[in-house]
Order: sequence, then structure tokens, then C-alpha cells
Amino acid sequence: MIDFEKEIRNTAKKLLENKEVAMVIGYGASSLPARTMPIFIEKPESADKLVFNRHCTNNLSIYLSRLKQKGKLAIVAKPCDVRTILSLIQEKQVERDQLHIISFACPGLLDKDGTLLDPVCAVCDISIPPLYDTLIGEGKEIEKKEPSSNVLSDFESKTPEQRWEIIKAEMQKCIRCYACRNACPMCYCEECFVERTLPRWVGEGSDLSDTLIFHIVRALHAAGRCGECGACVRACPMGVNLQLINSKINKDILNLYEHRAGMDPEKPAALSTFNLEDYNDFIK
Amino acid sequence: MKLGKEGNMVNQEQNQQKEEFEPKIVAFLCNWCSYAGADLAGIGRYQYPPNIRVIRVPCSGRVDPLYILKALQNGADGVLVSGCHPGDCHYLEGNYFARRKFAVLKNLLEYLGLEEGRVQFSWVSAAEGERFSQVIKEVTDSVKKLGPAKKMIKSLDIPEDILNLLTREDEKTGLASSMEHTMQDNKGKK
Repeated sequence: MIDFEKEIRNTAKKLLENKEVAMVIGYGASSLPARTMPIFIEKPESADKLVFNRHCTNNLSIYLSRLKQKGKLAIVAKPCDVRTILSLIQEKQVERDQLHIISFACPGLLDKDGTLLDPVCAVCDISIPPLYDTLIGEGKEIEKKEPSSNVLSDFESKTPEQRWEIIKAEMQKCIRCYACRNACPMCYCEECFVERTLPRWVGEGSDLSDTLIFHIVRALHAAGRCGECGACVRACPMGVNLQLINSKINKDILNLYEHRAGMDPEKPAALSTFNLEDYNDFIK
Repeated sequence: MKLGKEGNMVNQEQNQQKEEFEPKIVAFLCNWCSYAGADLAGIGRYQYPPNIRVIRVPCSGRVDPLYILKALQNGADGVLVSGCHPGDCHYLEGNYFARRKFAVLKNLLEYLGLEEGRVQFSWVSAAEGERFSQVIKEVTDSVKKLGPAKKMIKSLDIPEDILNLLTREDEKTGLASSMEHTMQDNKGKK
């Protein structure tokens, strides 16, 4: 892992020295164990503050549109983060030529106990980013575990009543802090539907139906755009298993429309395009 | 026909309740095809059950999944979205986008455990008056079989801990009656 860190620092230093980029967005040391925090480097001599380890959980691409007025940005991004960056480029939130993506062959993140991060990294099959300017660790053997048991198939094999009870229990944990939305790079709307007051679509109370509507509609807004980075799941202070909803939508989008968000710059998001022969059997 | 011998009461009442359940179905109809199809059903005197509440929308593509969920939350037993047949959209491609959206939504709702058939979709053209009545019959029948919707409905019970905060009896009754005022329609559904 150490050479990853060194290479990231060297790349960042070089980019800043040559004035190729105005700022490097990366991971810095945190005071908490097994955590890192986002840092923003503008001077070449500060590049040594960048760290890299297998606890770099944040998806830093949420900062891109907020900081783009600084000029060209360099960003340290995991392959899943790159997928969201690619979607952001497609949606014209950032410009490709105003971006230097520093990515790497990803071995997967670890949690506090040193096991592969559940539920995202444990089922991830992407180790090489779909887009990059600097790729660290190219061609090197990376240790990667086989994706563990699929949460989705366990859940899908249950009866509708059992599934509803599980979802109900998950939703009742939610305190509606909207941390999932705030951590999501694809949730960049200036005004979110949950905060609309004319009409008020979603009540402020803790009613199950309101919470469920928030999560379903947010997931549908991200449908075909979600890069499966898991930032929403990790941001949740209550441990709501949002992956239950997200991975179902991602799976459907893949099965019905053969689309994975952020993998191909030429392919538009699944729900902003169509085929004449799309799945039609469910319509009378 | 509520009268009957004591012994039969329970059974009869159960039967009656089953028979008497008339679902409320919110139907989003596109202005150019299905709404005109409903019109034609009227002109052609084709009978269909009076359970649908029609909301006219410019296009099936205009129907946000949020509208469907809101309808369910506010007490609809079923939701029907109907638009032009593929290729007939007044806006050329609105219903194609709608189709993708609805496929994902429908799969997700059933996956979460909502009954299959609460949310339905159909294509009905402006020339299909008879078909419109047929679709409404089918949708009404299937929603009737599912019974009243209970899962997505917003609960209007006052939480006990809030009631306990109120010390005076008149406050409690005041709150209860003001809540009642807003929930008239949903009351039976709790």
C-alpha cells in the first residue's frame, strides 16, 4: 500500500508544481482510527499530507461541482468514484478537460476489523476504473476476494410479507437526516423534492410512508446513474441497509436495459433514453 | 340487506364486507389517448365500474413515480397509469421514457413487498372506448381481490408520547378533533 501513497503524493506534487491543476482533492489523515478525511491541497509542498490506505471511504466527487470555479481540479478517486465522475461529466456537472483523475487498481476497502467492506466492496467486481488520467498500480497483481454471498438473492427469495417486514424495520431505523442524500455525488439538485413546500411532497414526521417515499424516490432519481460507490450506506448514522433498494434497481437496469452507470462515456443514463423494443409485458 | 338470523350474522357480515369493498383507484390518463378513450367509452355507453378517479395528464411520461406513491400514501387502493400505445405518443417519445420508468418502479414496489397489482399500467388509444371499459373492469377486479391497501398509507394516529405531553383533557380532545378534520377520508383505512 505504501507505494500507492507515494505515487499519489508524487503525482499531486508534480501536477501542482507544473500548475497543471489548481487544487488536488484527496484523502488526509484523520484523528479517528481506520478513517481518513477529505483534504484540499493547493500548494505543492503540502502534497505530503495526502495519505492512502484501505480506509479511504469517502467519494470525493461530491466536491467537484462545488470547487470547479477554482480551475482545473485533480481528484483521487477509486474506480467506483470514477464511475460517478463519468456520470457527472455526462450530465455536464463538470468538464472532462477541467479534471485530472488520479485513480488506481482498487483492492477494495476494509472496515475497522480488516474485512472487506460490506455491502459494497464485498460484492464489487470492478478494479480498473473506466476513465483516468493517472492510473496507479496498473498491471500489478491485486489481491481481490471473490464477491461474498449476495444479499439480494437472500432477500428476493423471501415472501412479499417477509420482505415488507424487513423493509419496514430498515425504514423505521431512519431518522431522516438526509446524510445519504448529502453524501451522494449524483444528488446535486439545488432543491431536493423532500424540501419542497409547495406542495409538500414528503411530511417531516417519522411516518413509515414518508420515509419510504423519500428512499424510493431518491433511489429512482439515481436509477441508471448510481455508480454503486456505497457512499449513502456508509454515511448513514443509523445503519439503514440502503443497498437493499439500490442494488435491486441497479440489477433491474442491468437486466432490462443492459446498462451500468458510469462505465461507458458514450452510453446515456438508462432512464434518459429508450429502445423501441423495451420490456413491455407488464403493461396491459 | 343487513337483516338475518343471529347465527348467520357473522358469516353474512363477512360476506357483505367483502362484497361491499369498493376500491378507490387513481387513474392517470394521458390527454391525447387514454383520456379520449375514456370519453369514447362514455359516448359509446360502454359500462365500467365507478371506482376510478381520473387525473388528466398531458402524457404518461409526465407521471412522476412520486405521484403514484403519493396516491398510495393518501389512501388509493390502486393506481392506474394509462397512455398512448408505443409509437402513438403525441410528443413522439414520452411513453417510451415512461415505460422504462414504470418498469423499474413496478419491479421495485413488488420487490419491497407491495402487492402485485396495486400499481398497473396500460396503453389505451383514443379509438379504444370498449377496451378502456375492459381495462377498468380488469383493474378494478384485481384491486378488489387484493382488498384495501394498508402498507403505504400514512398513519394518522396521534403517537402516544405526544398525547402524553398534553395534560389537559380539552387539549387532547381538541387535537383529536382537529386531526379528525384532516383525516376524514382516510379514517377507515387505518
